[in-house]
Amino acid sequence: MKRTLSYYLQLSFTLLICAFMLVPVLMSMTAGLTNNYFQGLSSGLTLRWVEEVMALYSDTLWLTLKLALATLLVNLIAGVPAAYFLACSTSRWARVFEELILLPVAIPGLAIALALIIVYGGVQDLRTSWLFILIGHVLYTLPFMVRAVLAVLHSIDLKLLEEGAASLGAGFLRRFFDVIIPNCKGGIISGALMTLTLSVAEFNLTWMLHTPMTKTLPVGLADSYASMRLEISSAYTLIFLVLLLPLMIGTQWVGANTQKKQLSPSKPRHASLGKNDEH
Amino acid sequence: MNINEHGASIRFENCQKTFADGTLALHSLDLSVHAGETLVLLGPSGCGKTTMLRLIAGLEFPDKGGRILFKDEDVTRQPIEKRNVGMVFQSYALFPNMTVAENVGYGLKVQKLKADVIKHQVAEMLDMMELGALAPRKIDQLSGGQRQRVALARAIITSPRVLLLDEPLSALDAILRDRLRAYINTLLRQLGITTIYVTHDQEEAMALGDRIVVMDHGRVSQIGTPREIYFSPQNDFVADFIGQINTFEGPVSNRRMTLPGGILHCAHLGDGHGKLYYRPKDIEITARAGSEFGGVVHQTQFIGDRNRIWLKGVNHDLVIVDSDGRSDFFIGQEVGLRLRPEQMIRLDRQGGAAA
Ligand SMILES: Nc1ncnc2c1ncn2[C@@H]1O[C@H](COP(=O)(O)OP(=O)(O)OP(=O)(O)O)[C@@H](O)[C@H]1O
Ligand SMILES: [Mg+2]
Repeated sequence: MKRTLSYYLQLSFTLLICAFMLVPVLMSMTAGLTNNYFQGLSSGLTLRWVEEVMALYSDTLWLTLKLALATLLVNLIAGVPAAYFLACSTSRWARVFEELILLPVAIPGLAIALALIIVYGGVQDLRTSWLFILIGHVLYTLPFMVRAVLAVLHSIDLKLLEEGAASLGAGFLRRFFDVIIPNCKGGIISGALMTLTLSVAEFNLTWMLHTPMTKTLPVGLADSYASMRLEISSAYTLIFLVLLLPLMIGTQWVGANTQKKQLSPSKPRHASLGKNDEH
Repeated sequence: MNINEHGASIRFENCQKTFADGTLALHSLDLSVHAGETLVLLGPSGCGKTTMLRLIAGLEFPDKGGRILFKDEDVTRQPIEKRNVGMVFQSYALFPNMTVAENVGYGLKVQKLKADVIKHQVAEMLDMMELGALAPRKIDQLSGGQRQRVALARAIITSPRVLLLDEPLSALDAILRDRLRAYINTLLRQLGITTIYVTHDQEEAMALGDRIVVMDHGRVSQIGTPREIYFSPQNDFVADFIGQINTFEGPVSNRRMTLPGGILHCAHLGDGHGKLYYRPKDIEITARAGSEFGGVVHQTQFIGDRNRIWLKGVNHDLVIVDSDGRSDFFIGQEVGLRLRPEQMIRLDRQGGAAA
């Protein structure tokens, strides 16, 4: 097939856009690994800056990981059952609530943080604890979790599967763990990845809620941009990306996979009348 | 396999079902199902068959005052997981997250049997259902007929007191349906479980049922053996629903009914207005000359084993006659009809619903 001029124009335009987005990222990543950014790569590669970042900021890294995992845990324990009960309920209020639960996404993180500070800011122990940030992160990410699970629950015949399991003697908890959870695994995984990604990368809300003792990676990053030399900030960014990229790729991959599954028909295969097949 | 020799008998006492939106799906009903019997619920769409099945299952509960008993045990308020019933859903409700073997073994797993016991029983059941080779497959890798058998296997492996089947064959094509029907028939006789079988296909009902319950708009129209239902329907609805029927309706005097096509003898009817019922295959076509009753061929259809003929000028409606497939008629042909009194279908209005 002969490629037309317009094909090459589109290709170069796409590449240009990619370069526009990727070059600064790559630049800053290499900056974190060069001896002296102003002399360029010729000054040699080093892990010195990375080590220095770990010495200065490792607690922000651990806190970020702890927060992300704790947020995930809360979301799994609260979000999955919440989605299930919303999906089961036929009441109009359940539908209203489904819409409401998306609201925090529309409210800026700063506003959520401000509201939290106004309500709980006076409780000293909570205000200075990492749990305060956890509350913020859960408020922010829970809707994504619930939505992801709900989408799957709405696409399967939940009631029928449950009745099937109940007819075989399974009580509620058995049905929940044997049939419901496995059948909305896709939604749970994509919700979990989304939760981790959002929690790790969250800045607005966390910046408002943090104290000097509870700094997360993105907050520390902002600090370092303001006060450290460029190579250290860049090395710090590198660590951030290494943490975040797998999560983002995972989210994309799971999303693409579930879409593929929904597109492929799952109708019964045509009844074959082969001898050893049917009786 | 530890399948019960006999399942439990079932008794409905004053059971009525009104749904939350006010739909009265089932009018007050008393009914007994014998232990080990196969009872077929038959009726047109929306008549309440599924509702009745779900009441027995414990997926719906009767209105206040109604009671459901299994043998002597009152199960009215028990949910389905406590009732020890097996159920095959219209759309099978197999678990997509499990393999065929896991689906079949799920009921045993819930009963907390040992893994090797489950494995053994599942293997035996899969063999019996000729599903052995499919054990490791996922449900979406099965054909419709295979799914149907998996659903059946899953429902009977726990030796339920009662087996409930909701139109299990309706999603299948005709050949497969016939084959599986024969298969289910043999299986049910072998197992001796009390079975409630829902269908809207009268042929299926006849083939499988020890007794048939014909339902209409949430009421029981008639209960009886297939023969009773077919040969002595109690009302127009049953007569019409079970196979085709011709209704001759007209003035009767002196034991003769006068119709557009001539005179019909009806020794059992008094003077006034009367109705006679004949099935299409019980009417015999003769030569027009010399017969006192007849009409004109309006349309014919060759169905292989028989010729179906619609006649006009006999009755107010078209009359349907089934004759031998080898006979040949042309449209507009004048024919005579012979109706034998002994082949008349009598509506048995006196016999109340046998419970
Ligand atoms: N959950 C419900 N709420 C309200 N009405 C219902 C409900 N389920 C069934 N009905 C109504 O009750 C009546 C009987 O329904 P049912 O499902 O028992 O019919 P059916 O005989 O099984 O029909 P089909 O052959 O189409 O399956 C119908 O009019 C139906 O609309
Ligand atoms: Mg139904």
